[in-house]
Amino acid sequence: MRATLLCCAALLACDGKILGQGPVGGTPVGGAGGGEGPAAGCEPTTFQLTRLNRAEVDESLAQRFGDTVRPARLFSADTFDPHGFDNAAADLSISPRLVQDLEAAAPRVIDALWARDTAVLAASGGGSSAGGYAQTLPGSSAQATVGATRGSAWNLWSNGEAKFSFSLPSAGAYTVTITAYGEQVGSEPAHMDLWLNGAMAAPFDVPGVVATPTRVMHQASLPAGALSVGLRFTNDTFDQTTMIDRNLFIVEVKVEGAGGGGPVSSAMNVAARVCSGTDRACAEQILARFARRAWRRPVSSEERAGLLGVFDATVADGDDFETAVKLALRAVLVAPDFLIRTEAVMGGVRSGHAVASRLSYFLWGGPPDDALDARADDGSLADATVLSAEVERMLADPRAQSLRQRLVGQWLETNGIEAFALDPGLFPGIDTAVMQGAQKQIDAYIGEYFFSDHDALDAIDAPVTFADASLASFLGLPSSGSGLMRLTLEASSPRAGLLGQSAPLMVTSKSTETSPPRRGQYVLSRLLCQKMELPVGLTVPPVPPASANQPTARDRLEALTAPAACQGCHARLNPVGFALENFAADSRFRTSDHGATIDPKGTFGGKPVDGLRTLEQVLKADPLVERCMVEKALSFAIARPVEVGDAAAIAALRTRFSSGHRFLQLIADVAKSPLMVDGCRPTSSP
Amino acid sequence: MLTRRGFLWTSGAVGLLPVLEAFLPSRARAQSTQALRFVGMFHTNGCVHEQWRPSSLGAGYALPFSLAALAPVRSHVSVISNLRLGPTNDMGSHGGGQRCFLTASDTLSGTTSLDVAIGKRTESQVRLPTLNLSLENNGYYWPPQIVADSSGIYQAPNGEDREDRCRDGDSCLVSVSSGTPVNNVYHPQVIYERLFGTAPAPGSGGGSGSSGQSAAALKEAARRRRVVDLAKAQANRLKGRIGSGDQKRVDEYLEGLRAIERELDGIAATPTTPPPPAATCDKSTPVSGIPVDRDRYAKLLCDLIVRGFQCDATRSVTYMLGQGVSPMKFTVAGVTYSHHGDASHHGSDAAKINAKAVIDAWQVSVFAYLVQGLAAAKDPDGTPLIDRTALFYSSDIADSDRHDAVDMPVLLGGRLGGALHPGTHLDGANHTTGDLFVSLLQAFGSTATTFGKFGTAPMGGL
Repeated sequence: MRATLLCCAALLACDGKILGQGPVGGTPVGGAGGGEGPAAGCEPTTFQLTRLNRAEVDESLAQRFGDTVRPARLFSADTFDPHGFDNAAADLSISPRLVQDLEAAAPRVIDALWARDTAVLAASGGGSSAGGYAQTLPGSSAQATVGATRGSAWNLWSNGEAKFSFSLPSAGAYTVTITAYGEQVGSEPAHMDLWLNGAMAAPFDVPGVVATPTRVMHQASLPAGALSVGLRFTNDTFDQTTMIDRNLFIVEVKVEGAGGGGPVSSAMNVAARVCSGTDRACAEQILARFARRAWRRPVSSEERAGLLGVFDATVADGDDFETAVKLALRAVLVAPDFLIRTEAVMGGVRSGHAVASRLSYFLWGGPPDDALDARADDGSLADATVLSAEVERMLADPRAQSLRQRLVGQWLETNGIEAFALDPGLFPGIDTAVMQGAQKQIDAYIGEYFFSDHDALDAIDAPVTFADASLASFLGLPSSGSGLMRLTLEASSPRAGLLGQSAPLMVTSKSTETSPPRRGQYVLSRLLCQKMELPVGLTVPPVPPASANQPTARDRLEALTAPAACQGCHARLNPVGFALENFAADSRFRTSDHGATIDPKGTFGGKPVDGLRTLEQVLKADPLVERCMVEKALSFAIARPVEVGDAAAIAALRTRFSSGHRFLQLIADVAKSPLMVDGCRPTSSP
Repeated sequence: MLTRRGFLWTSGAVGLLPVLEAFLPSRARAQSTQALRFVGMFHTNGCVHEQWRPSSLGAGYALPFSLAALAPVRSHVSVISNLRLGPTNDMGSHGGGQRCFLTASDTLSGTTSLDVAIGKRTESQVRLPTLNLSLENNGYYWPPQIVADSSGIYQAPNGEDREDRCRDGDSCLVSVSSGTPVNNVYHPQVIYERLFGTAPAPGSGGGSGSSGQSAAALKEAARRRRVVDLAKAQANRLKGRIGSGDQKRVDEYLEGLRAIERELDGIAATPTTPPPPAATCDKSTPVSGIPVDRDRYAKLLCDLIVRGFQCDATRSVTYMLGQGVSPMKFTVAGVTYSHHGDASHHGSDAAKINAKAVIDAWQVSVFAYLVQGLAAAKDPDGTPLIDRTALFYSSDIADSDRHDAVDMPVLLGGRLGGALHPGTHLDGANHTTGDLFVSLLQAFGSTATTFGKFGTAPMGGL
């Protein structure tokens, strides 16, 4: 429910101009300490000191160190412009509470990592783990036929398979350990089959729930090379009485060589195996290695001395080695260099480390990995071929799957539809299962048009939808069997395209009824990138309830927005909303509103529209849609709204995007664009 | 230690005044004035005036149906009628009313809500300048989705559901700090940890945030200080390298580090007065999950507020009994109503009006429970907390069906160190809620004569 937005969107009156934004004052390119200046013909722009948002804090700790505490979930929430992205540097202020939360969480994170690593060390007899293989993949890294991530887990919401890829160094005996849980329904627990390299290996019941997940182990003799671990959910069901869907969640998959090793890949190791002994030199090694990774940049000798100073003072105070090292490790996380991306300031905005961080937080929502670090260290990211190969590698990595939610889900406001609250009293039949169905529908639709080999512009009007049994029955769509079905819609169907999927129709509604201006604003701001603001001093009266004289929303809004002061915006907002009025707030098709026939006709962009499908045709023909897709991808990448000065960069990206509109290619092009690589933009003609 | 801290802060480009203040023992500062407290309580979805507004002014008014629960606490509470939110009759329905609720402004930009303004005045003396609570987080409190254990408690799995689900400045926030909405917490255990630190080990005699001076606590405080000092050194290293536009972020970070230092100062300080008797400050009774019974849940949050005040962990609290546009369901006379969709928009249907009045009576009963709790609990000098507290209880809209902002439903509880004289029904005509805030803020020692945009003069006769 978005009442704040609704109130502003209920009635807009302005001249409808597209608002541009001036540049924001940031640190000059190159940074005071950076030796590198901007490239010729490159004008400084706005990489402000960006801080990690909560999700990025957790991903940074998880991806880099295998942390499972995920402390930032409990931090105070980030605030950001709901029309933008949650990574916008200018919005991510740092409240005292946030720093306090981080300081309070640091011991929990460090203690957990330390305990994990020392357990490994003990298990491997105190020596190194040469020959032992251990790799853990989070459920969220699955390549799956159905489902989506939920936190670090993969949610198989209907029967299907989640696959995980490992690379085994040698043939031998291995243990596969799977942590999973179910959203249980009925007396039968969730069921999962384990497949290894395409062959059924073992069946498992998964009786656990989120608080107490089930851990199952399977031992197998496996060949060297690629190992595919497939987990198949086989008993999806839906309980009509409790309205609970049975779902399977894969938390993580671990493959361990029988020779020992442990649950953690050496790359994630923090404490053990860095060095042995309890002397100052070992402490320094552990601290330098941890700070390098947590701060995403080389650590200066001064900084190293500072960290060692924490260790020394703690030892001098009578604490033992472990306490002292752990305290200094905490200091690494509480230093601003973890929460704030300082690498561009400390090393220069074009330093390999700054580039690597920009790439990884864009593509992965997390920090660089060892491979990217190596490219940053040796400076080879400056080589276009190397950069290109790195971008390809990163996009192929499971971590890039998160772009669906982080980039497109935010842009189209489709994340978290499950929790969107429509008034169940007013919309009979709406329930958790239908809302979950709506989430699956839009996620599948986005996956098809933005993340597979499709023309992204086809997303606007494709005669395609997806529905599981609950949603199909709710919307009156044909349904055959279980799972999410892909449906091709006939030409006579009133429903098609992005705006015909349930999520966009619901998220633009009030909890009680449709809001045509809100839907108009969605189309203008999300698909055409036009921003409208309520003029200062204008008061917005509430939309009156339906009456005998004014039964439909259109009747009421036309009367209310008739004054010239309103028409600046509403002349463009209303026709869009009216064209979608055949879809109620719950996204069901309807032909009447409070007993009166709905009239979806109007004019948009100078062209006549008559309902959703003609509106989508007009939109698809509008070149602003293509431009808007470029702007959204770019704005997310550079963590700020696009500005007038970005026009040249946008034009260059658009030229490439215009052939075929492959969204993944656009993402790759954005990643390699000068704005990302140089942290500055090509100078426009003087 | 204080000398060293002061010196570091001077080099950290923080003003001189806080440095001087830091030299004062915190207990001495706490003693210099009475410890006054504030609660801003948010009533959801307006009211039905016919069932809310007493028919006569002054003391001795008859309690209308929705206010029936005030009977045992009426000497501690005043009813104020005819207060407006602002100059226009409609402040933008729920969204606008909610923004205005404690800011007395129609925009968030640059504003600070009353709880934060009061929190800033008391922050040097408490662990938490403000605590913001909510009974409902964006539809979170929706019983069919919640499974209780045998004691009626919902244990959020793995911390997953302790997270605040408020998004996009939805109708779930009332506290605002310099234009930034402040999130609520709703999980009792999170609230407990905010107030008292992590739960104490058996026999250790206090949580991590206590002012206990055990050797172990002092040693850990010294360790944490090393962490903060390193972070400050890194921040200052950064400051030397950045342009003015980016200084703000580093300054914000330093402000956060300073907040940690204040907490550590509190641990290190030697108390100049004996610690309060254990009976008056209960940090040790832990809390766990969320009671599935709504009434029990609502009252548990009241209990936590009382404990927080009694232990002087905070002096400024907001508590939302539901979000704006709350879809919380209530069953009245066998019929289940969605609070906003069915009951508040009653369309003059008699059964729905009755349902709304019943829901309001329940909301007021939670307020009455909190007032009772504050009247029963005492400061170490024996003064009941209610005598040093102000409770402002109101909503985002006035009439539940029309969503206007005139004649707001307002209850004012407590005596606030003698600044308030409760027990009557007052006429607030020609005043805004913002005017009331000016009066409250002045009682906290402020010299301000305005508050937000609509608080233009203090309101007398309270």
